[in-house]
Amino acid sequence: MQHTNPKQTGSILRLIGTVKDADGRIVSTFTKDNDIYLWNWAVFWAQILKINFCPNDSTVYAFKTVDGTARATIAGVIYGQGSGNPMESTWAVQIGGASTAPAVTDYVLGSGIQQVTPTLPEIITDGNILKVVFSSTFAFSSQTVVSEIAIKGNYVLNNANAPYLLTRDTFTAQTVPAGGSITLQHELWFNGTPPAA
Amino acid sequence: MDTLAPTSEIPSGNGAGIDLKITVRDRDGRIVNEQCKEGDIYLYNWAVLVASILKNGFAGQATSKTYYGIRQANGAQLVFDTQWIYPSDTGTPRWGNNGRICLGSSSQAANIRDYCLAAPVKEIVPSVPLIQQDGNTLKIVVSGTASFASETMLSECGLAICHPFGTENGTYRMMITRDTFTATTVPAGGTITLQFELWFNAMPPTT
Repeated sequence: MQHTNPKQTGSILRLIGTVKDADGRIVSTFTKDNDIYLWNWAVFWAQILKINFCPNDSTVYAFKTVDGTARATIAGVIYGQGSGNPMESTWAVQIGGASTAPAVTDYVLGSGIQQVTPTLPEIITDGNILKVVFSSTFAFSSQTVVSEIAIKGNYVLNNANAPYLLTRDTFTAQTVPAGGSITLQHELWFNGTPPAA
Repeated sequence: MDTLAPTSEIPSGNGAGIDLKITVRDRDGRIVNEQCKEGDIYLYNWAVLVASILKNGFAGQATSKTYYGIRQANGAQLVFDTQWIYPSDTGTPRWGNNGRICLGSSSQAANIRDYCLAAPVKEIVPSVPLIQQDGNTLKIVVSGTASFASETMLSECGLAICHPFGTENGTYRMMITRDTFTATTVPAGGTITLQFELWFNAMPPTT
């Protein structure tokens, strides 16, 4: 078979973290590449493609919500805004304190601590590289150790208020001082991989 | 205490990409050409779709002044504030039944700003997307086969889906991928099969 690969394109999830103390001084920064997309991410996009390609086919995709409940997509149906099934404003970024390595079958944080609504996603281009970027800031009144992060979705795949994780990964444990904060920037890269930080 | 210096932890072998596998057969079903094109590209419209869905999930209509723009497959620009991601169900199939694999004959290099094929030839209704898992590697696999009564040269392809940003009932499409491949000739009475593999958490092998 003939292979054509003019350049090593690819895509990746990058996580950039900044920890600040109570006075806003930067305590630490880090970059973590290869945050992973979970099984639910694949289900999400497979369902969107399927609804476009063959909505009358009876195939459904299995997924798990954050409480461990096994569910399945509904053939031919995507729940968006309206019809009593709003997805809007129900998604979040969650942070936790577990260091268990991620697996695509994860459906919940190992040790969830807090969730926030991130900034609005921006699209950044550089040549043919595409990045979707947003960031989440978590503030803590007492000293807190954090080491895992996830994007949480809701609806779309099902008509129930049943959240599911789309990504999860761990990073080197970071201690956020009392009154401090940690900001985590997600970068979803497409058509290119970032240079090593 | 952590230091101020940035650190990086990059396990090997991660990443993602689109693999495109092409098989051309003659009228008797014999394979006359096989090729694999790595690095098929996602278009700007794909990023808009990802960003819009995330934005709607995170902020809904509460912050409506974030605008993303796409170009529909007919070239029309559509700018929206992402207040609405329309549902699709059996009664209102707004996204439904209009996504296609598009085939063309141009060799013009792909650019993320592309919104249609440069020289469209034919469209295929794709198969049901499959999800394949190997360790932490995830693949969404979609394929389609087109037949040609007369000899036809092909060299570009893309995936087109309906956008979810209006109530047009599945009428308006946008392309989310496009790329070129080594020109191949489908013999009269022959077929071409295209398999798109959307890889996540790993790069496709290059050999």
